[in-house]
Amino acid sequence: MDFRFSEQEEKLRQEVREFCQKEPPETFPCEIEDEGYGFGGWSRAFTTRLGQKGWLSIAWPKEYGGMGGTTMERFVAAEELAYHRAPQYGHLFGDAVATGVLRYGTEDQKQEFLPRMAKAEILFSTGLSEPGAGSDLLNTATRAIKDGDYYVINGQKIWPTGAHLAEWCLLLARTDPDAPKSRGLSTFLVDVRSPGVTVNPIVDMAGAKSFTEIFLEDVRVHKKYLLGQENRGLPLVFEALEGDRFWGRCLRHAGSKRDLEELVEYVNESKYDGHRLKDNQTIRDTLAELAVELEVSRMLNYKAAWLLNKGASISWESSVVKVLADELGQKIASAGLDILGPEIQLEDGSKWARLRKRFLFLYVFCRGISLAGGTSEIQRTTIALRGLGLPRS
Amino acid sequence: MDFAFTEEQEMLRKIARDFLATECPKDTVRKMIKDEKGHTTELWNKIAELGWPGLIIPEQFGGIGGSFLDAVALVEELGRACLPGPFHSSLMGTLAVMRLGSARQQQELLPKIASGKLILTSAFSEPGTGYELDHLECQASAEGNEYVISGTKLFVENAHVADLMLCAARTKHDGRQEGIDLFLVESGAKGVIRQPIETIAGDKQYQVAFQGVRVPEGNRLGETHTGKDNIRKLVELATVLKCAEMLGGAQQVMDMTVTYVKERVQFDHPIGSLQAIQHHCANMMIDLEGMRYVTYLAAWKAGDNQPFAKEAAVAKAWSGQAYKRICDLAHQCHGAIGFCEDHDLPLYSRRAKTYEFALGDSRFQRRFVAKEIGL
Ligand SMILES: Cc1cc2nc3c(=O)[nH]c(=O)nc-3n(C[C@H](O)[C@H](O)[C@H](O)COP(=O)(O)OP(=O)(O)OC[C@H]3O[C@@H](n4cnc5c(N)ncnc54)[C@H](O)[C@@H]3O)c2cc1C
Repeated sequence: MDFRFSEQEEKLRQEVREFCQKEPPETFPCEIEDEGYGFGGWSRAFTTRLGQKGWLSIAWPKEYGGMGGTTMERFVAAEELAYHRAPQYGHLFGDAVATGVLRYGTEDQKQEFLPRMAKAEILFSTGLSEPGAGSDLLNTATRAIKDGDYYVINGQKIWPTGAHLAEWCLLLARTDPDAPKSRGLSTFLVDVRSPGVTVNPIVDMAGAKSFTEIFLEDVRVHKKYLLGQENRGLPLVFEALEGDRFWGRCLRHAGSKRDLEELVEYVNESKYDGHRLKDNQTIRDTLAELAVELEVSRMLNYKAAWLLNKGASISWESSVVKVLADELGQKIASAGLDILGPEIQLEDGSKWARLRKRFLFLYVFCRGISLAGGTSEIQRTTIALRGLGLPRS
Repeated sequence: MDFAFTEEQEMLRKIARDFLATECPKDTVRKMIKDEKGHTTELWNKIAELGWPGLIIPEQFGGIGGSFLDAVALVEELGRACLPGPFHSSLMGTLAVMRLGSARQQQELLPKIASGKLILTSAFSEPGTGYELDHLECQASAEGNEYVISGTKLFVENAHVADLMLCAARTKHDGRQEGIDLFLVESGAKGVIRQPIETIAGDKQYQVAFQGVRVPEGNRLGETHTGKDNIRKLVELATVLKCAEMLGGAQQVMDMTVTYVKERVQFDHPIGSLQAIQHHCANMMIDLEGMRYVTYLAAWKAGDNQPFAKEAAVAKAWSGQAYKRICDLAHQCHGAIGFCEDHDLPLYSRRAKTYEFALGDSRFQRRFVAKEIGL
């Protein structure tokens, strides 16, 4: 047992830290603001800058524009960036797509996509959910019909995050309607600028344009963009989702550490009804409890990163990571707002205006985090079935 | 980064698990709760033969020379088996002698501890004071080349079978306070009065009154004054070990529950196929995984001589509550069968509460964490 990072990993962390000091991440414009998953906002400009540094592709092989490093290095860089509130939304899910391309893609796909993803010339969204297929992905109805060298795709996707900001989409569609539900699905790499694709942003409950709906009408996708085998899309999607759960949630501890630090600063400096907040035992206990849970979350994230780095499966571990991270995120948002108090809604232009704005937003947005990427109920079922071997219902 | 135990540690765990499965079945555990002594000499001797009391004692003193992480690996298994008896309380005393004892004291005591012939325990907390130490009232006044100890201690584990107690007291020379020291007090010494305390888990806890107990100067642990910080560190080590014990227990509760819900059939299906039950189990698993890695982090830091006070507090704050939640859900999954006195589950759920209190409950730990995060 050894919970130290390697010298190489620490060196990279230091580089990232220095980079964040020289080029403060908050100075980059964001298309989607930080929604409190732990990985910051969506910023094309920042993602592009990371691409120039080679930090989007740390763990990919060199021949595809990668740095030939390890998954743990990739994680350490992301962790350090998260602590500095760097906007990583635009590319972090790309890691899951890239893993799919590396594992299931053809040589041509690897050559075509990875070097461009590494430079942020293209970004990906994931188009899985549909009106009739939320938790129940097997119910996917979007159809892809083979026509010579092409597939013709018709259907509707709903909720893909950032499909209006990304050029490409990892799309799940049904290629064999007669096979059992799980056997007829395939995944495609789809250029959403293709004729027949309409992407409309949907305004979420927090007022942000983060997710979208996608309409596909006779969209012709060349067969070279089929990822993996035809009708064998499901295992690939499950693996991609495993990666998505991890990369989308593994930064909770780092991102939220900053939130906690700012709440501590606020409590240390503020008074209410003539009493110093820092003397309030309930507040102290609440913040300490959050600190304890952030440590738990941190260790579980590290464990999953360690497994991933060894090439091991994280089928249920990623669900543990996700449930804990999401519910903790909700707790922080809620506790934070409670501590900031009702007056925080009124104050403007005060020293704490930014903190106030952040927590008001987090409080509303955090309702979505335990839904996105698979609901907490689905994750719990995954833990029970995969982690504990309980029988299917 | 490496989350795994070494092969040797895995071996130690396996040996312990197999040994305890045969030598310490749950019927024995239950019997020992009602037994006044609370453990059998026969089992203790076998444990001594395995060398466990000397696991972390250096070889030069007849021990195995294992690391703190080795101890954590073992204690986790002992927790899984609910091992009754003085092993844990004696281990804390052993750590005290190893870390703070003078060369002479180590020479004299460690070989006896390693061979299982000498059993220790510690007497720290008092009525009205927990583990903060600042408010200790027990006094040790120097008189010639003796100390006279007066005060009352609470939750002295296995005081009835321990040969020596490590008593924390405020030292006084000529009426001048000199901070806190640890004293080795023979439990049969004149003026030592031991009274059992009833606990929820039936473990053997005592209130011990020290009524003008005289000990020679040489029984003060260490060459110079011990100091509060050193005692604090000991409590922190004990806290990590307690978390490991809780972790083992929680793992066993998880395993028992999974086995049971796979077997128990209602409505023609194993109840483990019902989502309400599955989600209870998933919640147990999340809590358990959390317990595991915050405990290992604290243990690794402690063994690596890094500061670990915060990690120990975090581990205990989480484990105290998580273990209880795990047991609550396990009871719910077991139905009435788990509510019987002779079922194994109550052994754990009762301990979960006792262990939550031990060495400071979650709120106590969070008070410390609050300071650590800058409040
Ligand atoms: C902010 C946000 C971002 C998103 N981003 C994307 C994206 O990028 N790409 C994408 O494809 N999708 C995305 N989604 C969609 C997301 O994956 C789905 O919302 C999610 O899988 C749940 O589907 P649903 O909303 O249809 O809810 P439903 O599946 O209808 O679920 C409703 C409720 O029923 C419960 N439920 C459903 N089935 C079961 C079951 N078997 N057992 C127990 N309970 C069950 C659910 O847990 C939930 O509580 C996003 C969603 C949000 C909120």
